[in-house]
Amino acid sequence: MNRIKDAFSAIRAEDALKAGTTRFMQAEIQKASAKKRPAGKRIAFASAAFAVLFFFGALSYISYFTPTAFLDFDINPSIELSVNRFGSVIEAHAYNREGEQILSEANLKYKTYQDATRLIVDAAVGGGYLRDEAMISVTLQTDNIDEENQMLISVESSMAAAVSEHHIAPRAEVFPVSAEVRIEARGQDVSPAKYLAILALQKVDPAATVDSCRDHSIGEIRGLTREHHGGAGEIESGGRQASGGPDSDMGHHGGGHHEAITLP
Amino acid sequence: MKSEAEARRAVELYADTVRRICFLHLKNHSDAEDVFQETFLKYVLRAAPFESGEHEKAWLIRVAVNACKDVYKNFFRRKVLSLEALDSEPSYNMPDSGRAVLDAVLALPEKYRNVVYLFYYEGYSAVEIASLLGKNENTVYTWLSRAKAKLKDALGGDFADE
Repeated sequence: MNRIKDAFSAIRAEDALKAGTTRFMQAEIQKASAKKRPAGKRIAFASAAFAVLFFFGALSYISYFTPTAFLDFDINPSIELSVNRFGSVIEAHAYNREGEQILSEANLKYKTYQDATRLIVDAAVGGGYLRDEAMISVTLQTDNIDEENQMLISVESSMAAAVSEHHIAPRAEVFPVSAEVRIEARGQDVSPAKYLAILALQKVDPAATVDSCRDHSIGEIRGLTREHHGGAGEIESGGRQASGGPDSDMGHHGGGHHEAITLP
Repeated sequence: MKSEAEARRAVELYADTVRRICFLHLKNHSDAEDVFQETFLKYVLRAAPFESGEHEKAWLIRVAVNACKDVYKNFFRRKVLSLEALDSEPSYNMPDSGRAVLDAVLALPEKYRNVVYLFYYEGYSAVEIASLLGKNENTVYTWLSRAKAKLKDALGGDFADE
């Protein structure tokens, strides 16, 4: 077998072939290395991309779940809606049992405030709280003056559309309040409109308290105020209604800017 | 992927082995060069480490044999051979007796050539060859036996006694 071994020993890879193959492999290795981003850079790039995504994700989340406006409805069911900068309801709070009843029937979360307004009116009509002689008081508190005007108009329009569908014509008022009024009212667990009505009553009847008036409607509280006042004139704390004056019928909408009602 | 140093080392260590396998199967230098480079490129691209030097060598032999088979399977390349390619096959310096042995090996059927080379030159056992080529052990014994008989016929009676 030495003859086979000797014969094959003469077969050797040519130097040119070895050199050419080595160059070819080096070129392939360098090409692959150029394509491949170093692990450190890849990790840094991935981390930066994740950080940017996380930042914008967190920003969007915070932005979406931060209320920029508060709409308080007082029909006698009393409800407060927290609205974000996109006009969506992110939280609904009931001030009383009737309000809880409305919220259990109408899912208002993540609806636009216009849709939420219509749903509240629908539920209030369905629950028998809203009839021709009833009163709807809506207050708006926001720090954005442009948003305020736009929202007041939208809420008025939505309410008008909703009540006309039910062929009723309740009295309605929509007016802005300051943050101070809303916070004070929330502290007493009544709607800002009712809180202002109670403050007006207390001016003519110092014995009146929030607790004694809590279960009365705004119309009833204003009626007591008028009685103590001798039935004359308008009540200064009553705010303004959809048409620009208190206790007007729905469907007479006024324009222009509303001044937010503040505490005396 | 292997480093440039690993690639250089592999070429230095296994170039002759791969070249001999190419010689056994390919008729022209151009095909041999292609298979030679392809084999070492596959080596460079292999990410998994080898268990040992023996494992590394066996892997390269298997890749080279398979690459030669692929060339042989290519009908167009098998049938069309340029004059330039025919002229490019290098001539090896060896005595006539050596040339006669190589001619006798190359005259063997394709499947016998690998076992002759691996058994007589590389010193692998029939079991190892069977594992390396993915063949049955008995098949390798049969091929070896038949190849030996044919070589004896071609090279004379003294071949079997060496």
